[in-house]
Amino acid sequence: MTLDVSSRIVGVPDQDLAAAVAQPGGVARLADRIARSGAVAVVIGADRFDPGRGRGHRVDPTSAALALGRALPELGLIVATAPTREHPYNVARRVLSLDHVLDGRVGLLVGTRDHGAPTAARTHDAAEFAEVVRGLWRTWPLDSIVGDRDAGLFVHAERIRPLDHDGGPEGYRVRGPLTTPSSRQGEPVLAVWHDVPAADADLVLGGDDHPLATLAPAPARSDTEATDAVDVARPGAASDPRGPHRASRPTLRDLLDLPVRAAAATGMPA
Amino acid sequence: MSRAADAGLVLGVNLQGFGQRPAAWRTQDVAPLDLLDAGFWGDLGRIAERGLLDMVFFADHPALGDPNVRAYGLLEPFVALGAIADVTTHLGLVGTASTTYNDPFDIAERTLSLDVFSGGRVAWNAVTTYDRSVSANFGVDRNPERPERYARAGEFVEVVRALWRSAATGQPVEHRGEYLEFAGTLAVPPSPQGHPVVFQAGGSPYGRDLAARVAEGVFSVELTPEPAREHYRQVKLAAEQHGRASSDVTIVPGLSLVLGSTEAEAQRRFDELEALAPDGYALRALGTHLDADLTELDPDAPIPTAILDREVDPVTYGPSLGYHETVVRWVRANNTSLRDVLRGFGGYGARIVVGTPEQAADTIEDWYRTGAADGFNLMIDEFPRGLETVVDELVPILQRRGVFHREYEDTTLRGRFDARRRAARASTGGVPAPVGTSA
Repeated sequence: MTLDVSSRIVGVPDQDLAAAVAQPGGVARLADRIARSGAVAVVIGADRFDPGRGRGHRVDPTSAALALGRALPELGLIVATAPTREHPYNVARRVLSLDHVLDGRVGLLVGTRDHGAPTAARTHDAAEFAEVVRGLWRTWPLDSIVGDRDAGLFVHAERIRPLDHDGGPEGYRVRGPLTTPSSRQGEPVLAVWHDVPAADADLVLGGDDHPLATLAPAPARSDTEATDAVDVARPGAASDPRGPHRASRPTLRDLLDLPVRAAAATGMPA
Repeated sequence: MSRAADAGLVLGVNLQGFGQRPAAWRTQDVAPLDLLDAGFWGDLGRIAERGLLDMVFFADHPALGDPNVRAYGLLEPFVALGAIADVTTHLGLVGTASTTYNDPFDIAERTLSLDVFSGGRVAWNAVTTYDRSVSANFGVDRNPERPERYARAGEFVEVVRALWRSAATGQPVEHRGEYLEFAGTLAVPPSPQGHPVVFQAGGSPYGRDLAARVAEGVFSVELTPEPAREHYRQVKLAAEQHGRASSDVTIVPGLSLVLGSTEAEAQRRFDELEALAPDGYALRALGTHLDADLTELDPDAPIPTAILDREVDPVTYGPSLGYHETVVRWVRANNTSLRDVLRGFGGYGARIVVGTPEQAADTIEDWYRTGAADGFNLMIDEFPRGLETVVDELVPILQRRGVFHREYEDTTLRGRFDARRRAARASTGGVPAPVGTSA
């Protein structure tokens, strides 16, 4: 399966990230390595799904995505998580928020277990976790926000729905809605690690069938200057009716040729 | 005795949507989706840093309220802070997260990671979360009662701090408590400030005890200076009883600001913002803090004493006890009529200044010098406009009066707090004694 979409997505090793933040300019040099790889997106934190590699130094994938996302303004950023210690409401909110601040370039990769985190008293099913996260992403459609100043109407609130997920005694119970409306790409790309049986996911990654591309080793000379990827100018978007700050780069769904899904695609006309 | 002028005033800004006033999105030329945009928050961070403000602050509420009543909290706090971190270099980044609805390993890892990426500027505001709508999002039928929430919070903060230390030492954390059982090590690289600063925001006796034991900063709720000084001394003395220095806890009440170039102009702006606010907004806010439905009351009569006299059980009472205590005390002293009470309740529970930057500086300087506050978490009427006024007009006055710094003393948040503690100890030698002035 050499043409699998996973071949265009590069996994960033935890140890490379941890080393990058520990030295001045390290993040820019790592971003440069990623840019040279030709990948269209990166996965941050997938080492945690591997019992052999998931126990070394690491950083929280969300913080890393914020730092790398600014240095790599054209790439998608997929952050890894597992239901080991995380709750789906917190993850749904954080990753959708990340998708907003990174202009619709974000995805979430759900695995069965985080081997770098201490075990918790209860275990949860990763497929149910992914289902709840995706359900929460669809509770508040972005185009319900109208901001009608004269009428004092910020949002058509009747279009915001609870989720009311009830997974039974062993599962999650989550009412919703989420605090965060859907994003420019509808919702973040939902990927699952190869051992998670979630038929509804956008992508399956990892394993023999969907291996992530590997990042070439760092150049031997550690003082190699990174290209100034950090200061890439943002394209002018002043004509965008949604405000002066919105960017118009490809979303992660554009980059991976995935359909726009969710509430934003099924919403009523504005 | 009052505090010497030591330029140690701490100023933060509470980033609440388009401003503290619920109608702030209607009185400025802003696009509603700016609330979701990194550029909007980054610009606010840059303005705050231009004014040498110590920190920006995000509250947290992991449940959706009605955005037509007040649109704020759309982004998760630490994500918004990360966007601000990207475009600033000194500004402190304070994010709130609940100890009831989070996991300590996750909080420790995320806050320390952002701390590392930001160069040592992150603080975590630990709250116990009292809102019932939140528990339904986490499969909890009933919010745990206050003593249980704070007992868990105490353990939670201990575990998080132990995990942060474990990241530096590699020594595993073993915790066997009543609420948390835990064994593990955090593997995040070390932060330039050691680890994030810890704030606490509860104003109940339980909250103040937690603050005295573990917090480096306290976000408090005060309407008038006398109770503020009382609470200030209580927390500082309690910190000393726990073997800490009184200056180890930095106390920053909220301060609501509606500024204008004249008092009349400020009042006009306040009135305009109130007129455009959702119907009954201030009434509902007051009702929440008094835990009573006020909608049927006669606006021209005082609030019935039965509402104010009602005993509140600190164990089972749901909403914030700190707000309740502060507001009841203030209403008793100003209860000529419900209408008058609402007029003075423009800070929705916090002290408010509707006036000129000079007048705001008077209140700030008085509270700071007389031991009612070490600084303020500013609740500004409109963003970005009101923040620019604070930075361009209020900050220079405070600098001229010698209470606010003229440059950042250190790049890390803890480094600045440490520098100010050293200066405070050198100038006063301890807790400022109460004095008889009022503001």
